Amino acid sequence: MLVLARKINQSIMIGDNVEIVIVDVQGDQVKVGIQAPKEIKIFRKEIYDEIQRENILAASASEKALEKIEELLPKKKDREK
Amino acid sequence: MRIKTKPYGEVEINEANIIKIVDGLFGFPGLENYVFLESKTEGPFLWLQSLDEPGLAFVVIRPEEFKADYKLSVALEDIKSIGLESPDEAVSIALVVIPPDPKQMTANLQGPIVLNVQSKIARQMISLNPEYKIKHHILDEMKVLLEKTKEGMHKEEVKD
Repeated sequence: MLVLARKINQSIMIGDNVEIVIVDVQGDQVKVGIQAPKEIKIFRKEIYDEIQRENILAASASEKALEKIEELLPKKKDREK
Repeated sequence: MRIKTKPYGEVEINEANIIKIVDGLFGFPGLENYVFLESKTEGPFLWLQSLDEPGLAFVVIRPEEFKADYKLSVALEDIKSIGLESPDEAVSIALVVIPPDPKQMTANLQGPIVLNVQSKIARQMISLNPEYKIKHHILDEMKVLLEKTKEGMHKEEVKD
């Protein structure tokens, strides 16, 4: 991994179009500004991790659990009204 | 073709119904081929069965089943990656988590599977709408939806 030291208001370019600016540093928190074309997706890494965790939880679903749910659902007649 | 499935053992499927989830689901890379199976239980759920890994299957639901005003909001780059021009052309599918108390089951609207129905190409995307969370309580939201529908009908009756 490339590691660069930066001060407040200094930036890093990734490719020609993406600029990462260090906006502020307070204690252990760093504020980062990102200038990038609209089509570049920018998300906190935690979101990927959360979705991955949720997918793994979802993979343990069973037919038995679905049978239990059948009884909990609003009655079909009601839903179709 | 006959395939092995997690919920129902060996079943016959139509090859034309196989969908490709590009890059696989988060946490399940490399597993791209899936098929939807009708659930044998009553309700709005489907199974999403992996063809590459017979032991891997998910319960899924269309978000519209518990959120009438659901509107997909994802990056245009993602939408174009499945061959579409607008999120309105896509079909969203939410993965369901069923905890030990099934009343608490949730659907994930933060990471929907987004499908191009014509080409059968899909991708798991990240929602740009912060109202769509990783856990939506399906039963609670269904009840709310049901009440709204009833109110709507009542209003129509009054109009008449």
